Amino acid sequence: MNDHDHTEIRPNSGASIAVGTEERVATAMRSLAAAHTPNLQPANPSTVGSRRWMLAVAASAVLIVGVGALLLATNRDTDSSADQLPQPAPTTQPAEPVDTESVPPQAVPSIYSTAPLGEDLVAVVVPAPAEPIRGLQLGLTDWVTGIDNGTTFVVLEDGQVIGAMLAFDSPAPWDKISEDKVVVEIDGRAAVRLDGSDERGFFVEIDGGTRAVLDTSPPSQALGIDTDIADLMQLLGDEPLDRFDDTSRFVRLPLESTGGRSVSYGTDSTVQLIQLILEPDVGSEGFTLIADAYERLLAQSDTFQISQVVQVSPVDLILVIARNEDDLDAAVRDLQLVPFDESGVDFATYAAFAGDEIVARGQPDWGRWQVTADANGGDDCRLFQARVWDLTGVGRGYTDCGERNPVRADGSQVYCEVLDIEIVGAVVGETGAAPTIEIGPDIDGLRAEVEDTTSTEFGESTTFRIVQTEPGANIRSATVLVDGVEIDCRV
Amino acid sequence: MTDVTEFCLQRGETFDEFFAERFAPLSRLAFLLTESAQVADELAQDACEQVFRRWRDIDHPRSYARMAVVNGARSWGRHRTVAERTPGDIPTPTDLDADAIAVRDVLERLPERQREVLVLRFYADLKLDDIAAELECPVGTVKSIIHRGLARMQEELS
Repeated sequence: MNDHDHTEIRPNSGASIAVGTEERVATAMRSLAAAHTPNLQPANPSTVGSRRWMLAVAASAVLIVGVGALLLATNRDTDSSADQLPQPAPTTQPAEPVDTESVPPQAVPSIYSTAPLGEDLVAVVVPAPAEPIRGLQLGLTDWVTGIDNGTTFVVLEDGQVIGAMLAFDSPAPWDKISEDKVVVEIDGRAAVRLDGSDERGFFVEIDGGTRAVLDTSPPSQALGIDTDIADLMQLLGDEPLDRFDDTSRFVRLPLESTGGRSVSYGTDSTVQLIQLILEPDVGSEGFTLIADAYERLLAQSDTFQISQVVQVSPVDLILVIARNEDDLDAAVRDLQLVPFDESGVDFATYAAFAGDEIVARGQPDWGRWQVTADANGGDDCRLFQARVWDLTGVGRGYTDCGERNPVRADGSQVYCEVLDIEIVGAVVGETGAAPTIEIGPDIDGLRAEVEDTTSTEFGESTTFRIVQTEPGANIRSATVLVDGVEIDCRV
Repeated sequence: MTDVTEFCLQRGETFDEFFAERFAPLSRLAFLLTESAQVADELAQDACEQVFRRWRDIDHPRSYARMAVVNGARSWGRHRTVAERTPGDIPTPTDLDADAIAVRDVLERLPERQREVLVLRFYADLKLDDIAAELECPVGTVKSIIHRGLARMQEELS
């Protein structure tokens, strides 16, 4: 076992890890792995075939990305050469500025916080970046190949987006960039000033290469080259673009446009908030998207920053970056859950697998559940899927085919699922009186909460959940009495 | 002697040797990621097949195969159907000690990226930088995931 770098693991949520935990986990994982006896076997066409097809699709996706990169690398002005100077270039198709008035009600920030946000925490729905770099014909010719991507900054005025800029670093040598060009000074630094009709902005030398900041706003909303653009260039200094601390005037687009839109709340003296709102129609990959979004948001914080990602709705996550743990705790504590009905998510989001048929579903205050019949498994294969969220975490789970769904005398079925923080369940297809649901005997520290029987297009159902009333109570398993009949709910 | 075999001898390891040594660890890695014995074996076989096809071109076949397994498990996890979840694959609790059961329970509930990071760290024994490189994510993200994962593991183990 290698050194596990105890001191390098940054507490992101404040929890401390006891000495020896890592070794216990490693030992347990080896023990778990050893329980599997590898066995060479003939390929199973029903699974391997589809899996290979999926791998082929994945490979195609990689190929497309590669071709895109190649196009970028070859997207050059054919009249230019490495020895020529940068030529004025058409800017990218500008992103349409989006002001807060066009934001759907659920994106208004005040609903997320029990305490008023600081005055500097101005919410701005940032426009999606508009294909940075690819639309540019920069005349940097061969040098443009060294650009990985661009970073878009928006300019705010009274909380409204008034324009956007694209910034990127290139290995283009400064002497080539500045040769025969008008060189001005920005904050004591030599800069090439571009003020053409198609290209407006600056190049400055940085680390032997060149940094560019160019206006990508529509011509009718052109930014001030010696004010807005120069000011941002000055603020950026020599720091990496992704280290930029948003201000009330300049906000870095924290995320790529794919998979959702983001809202930056700027920075006050204590915290910075960045929100990612996924598209509601995330489909059956929604769970994966949430996990990916979590990672994408977390990647926005610097390694040594104190941060935490909070999911406030099924499609809505907020990254809180704070100066210290106390500020972080306070900010997270102030965040509120978005009521499900205001989240813009419908049941279609929770289709378990393509082709499955939904046979029942419920929408209690704490989340959503549904029962589906597997498209391939027939009536014997029912899947109970539940999703719960609160500020301490999001629980989800599902049962396997034919697992724990006892049929009652009236033909209704009972489902339950143990999640991380509670047990949830439902009695589906009732034909008589609403069932009584209680915690089994000799179970302490748990309480059953029962929703009224509801009638949907799928029939009657009663939803319940088991929650802790005492810290430390075992929530990993419980006997639930449904009309006095014991139902065993366990992991 | 085939070209591949000749090249393998130049490298100091033949594919047969690679396969003999690495198939079982790859399968166990896949098992931790998928919790399915059958799928684990198939993913390991697929990974070895990919390595064989590219044996001449890849510098680090072990790393290549490991990521082939991780990617294969990810694709499988995202597209599996109910029918593919074969009950009984997971060892029964009597086969495992309490710590292993606790770790299994946590792994089962983690998002795939977190599960991958923890398995690569604590089973495959990779360093943080290597995990970040293989999963193409920042080291800071790896650290955060490991910390959160350990916190959850700790709760289960206590």
